[in-house]
Amino acid sequence: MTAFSVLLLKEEKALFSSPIAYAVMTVFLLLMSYSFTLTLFLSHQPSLVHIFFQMFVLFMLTVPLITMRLLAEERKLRTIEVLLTSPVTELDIVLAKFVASMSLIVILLMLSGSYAVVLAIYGDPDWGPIYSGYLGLLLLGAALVGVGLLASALTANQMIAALVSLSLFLLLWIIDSFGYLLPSPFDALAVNLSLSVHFKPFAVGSVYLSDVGFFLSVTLLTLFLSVRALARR
Amino acid sequence: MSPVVLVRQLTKWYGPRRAVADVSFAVEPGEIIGLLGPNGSGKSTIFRILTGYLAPSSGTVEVAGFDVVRDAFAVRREVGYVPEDAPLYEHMRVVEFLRFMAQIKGLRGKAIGRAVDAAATRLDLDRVMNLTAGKLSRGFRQRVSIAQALLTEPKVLILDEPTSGLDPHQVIAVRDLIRSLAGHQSVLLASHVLSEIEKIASRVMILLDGTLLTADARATTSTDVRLRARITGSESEVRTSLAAISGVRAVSVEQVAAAERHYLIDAEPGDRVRGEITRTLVAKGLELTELVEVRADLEQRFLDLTRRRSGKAAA
Amino acid sequence: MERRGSRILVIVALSLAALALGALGSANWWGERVSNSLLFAAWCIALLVLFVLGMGLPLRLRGGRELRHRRVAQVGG
Repeated sequence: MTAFSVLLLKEEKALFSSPIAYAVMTVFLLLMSYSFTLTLFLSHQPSLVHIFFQMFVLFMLTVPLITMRLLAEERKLRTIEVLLTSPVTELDIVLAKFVASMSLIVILLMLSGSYAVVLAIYGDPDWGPIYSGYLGLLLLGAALVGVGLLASALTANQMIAALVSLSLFLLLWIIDSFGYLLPSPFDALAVNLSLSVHFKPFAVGSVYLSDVGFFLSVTLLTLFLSVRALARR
Repeated sequence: MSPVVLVRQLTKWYGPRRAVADVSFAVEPGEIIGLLGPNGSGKSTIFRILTGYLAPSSGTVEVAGFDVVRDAFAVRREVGYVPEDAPLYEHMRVVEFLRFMAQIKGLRGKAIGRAVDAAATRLDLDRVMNLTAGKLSRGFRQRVSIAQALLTEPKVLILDEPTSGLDPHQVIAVRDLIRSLAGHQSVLLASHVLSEIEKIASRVMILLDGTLLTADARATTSTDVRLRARITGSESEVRTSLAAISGVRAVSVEQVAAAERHYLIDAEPGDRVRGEITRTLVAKGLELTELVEVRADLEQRFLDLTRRRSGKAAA
Repeated sequence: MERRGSRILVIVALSLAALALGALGSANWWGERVSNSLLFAAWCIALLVLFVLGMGLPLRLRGGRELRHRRVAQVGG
């Protein structure tokens, strides 16, 4: 077993022995199921588009809760000293925490897959948008977890980490609506930094590789910065 | 034999603050080094650098022959570190934590179980193996933390304030454990409690404001002994009588009561001088009621050094 | 250090892969869709190369703030 796999196992145990993971799953499922059922009865359409948009928002609200403790807690309790005086790298630590958080995201997505199953049983949904929607959510989740992890790496206070991530998410969510206010080169920049602009095509069925690239870049960049933030001690 | 720890001109800056200033020392295999100094003197910083957690701002540090910057992983494998306040993962059970530590330190397969069992037995943890770390008392937390440091039987053991918060029984147990390690392992321990260091360490280093005041507080340059004599009589007479004795280097006075004084006499070792002192004083009619040897006091040495330092700083 | 050697190998291998895929993509032999996918794959691998290079940066960059403060202290006495 490599250092990474040992750390990953520890992270998974820590994540799933904390009430936060279960609280997040419960709230997520309750809200999404309610919304799904209601919309289905009202619209009679076998589509998950609005569900995907709602999960987009819900992810932004819950990821800070998942990621806030990742590195801030280790700093606070000083267990980070225990880790970093053992033969493990900062990258091992960051990747293990990232993958463990992603496992929760994947579980959330799989649980919501029940809606797709319901649609399949009772109707004839268009599968393209459903697959692309889930792909978009997965990529979005990775980017959000990356940012959350970075925020957690920069402070020993979980509250601050959660607030910083949440603020960043909200900012990146609405940044495109202010794009038109900015002068020429910057408006395009603002629009292209927006999470919603890059996510929308996935929800409606189009997979643009540039959007995939956006989420991958954000994820890799935040992981890189998290590693350097850990090294700054 | 080459030193197991070699520190040369180590300096560490935290932004504008110099936490460690030009510290140099060496640790021979098997020694128990006590690093004595008040809070904020740089003890923890030095330890964090020795364990490869922090990097030096300048200077070189070698542990078990490896440079802490270039070969950080190798250093970490040879060092067992018990940080201050014994940090543990609260959600894990003790046995899980020890197994986890064994694994990230590189042990595999059956070696993990063996190492965990050995450390648990040594630190008497069998009772608490299945308890959650978060529920342990301070004493047990400390022991679990020491146990994790011993898992790979490292060449160097670094303990930051290992007895803080422990009750007297536990303090003695930790002390005995550390003593039992001397010889095959080198131990560095930091404390601001003089009495603890005095009892465990074979060599005491004193640190103040990031500067190493001495690498061996107990070493004396002279072979002189210090005697304390309780003498009743006129001070000037006592002084002249003592000064006349060959082998007496210096005399100072500690006033205790009006007529009775304690004199501190620095003299040549051996019984001849003591005999001379007794005879001379009795012949002069002075009352000598006590004559004992005073051992070089660590506390005294600490005060001397720190006073001298603040005197220098004020000058 | 064994790590540095294997890292260089990884970087070289990935860079070559990125270049190869990029070339194939630009050549447009199999149609637009495949070309786009190849170019995208090349881009992803290039991103990965940047990441691995970034991981290789020394974790502590000596100099800067520390050096300045040390010089100040020396002058100040």
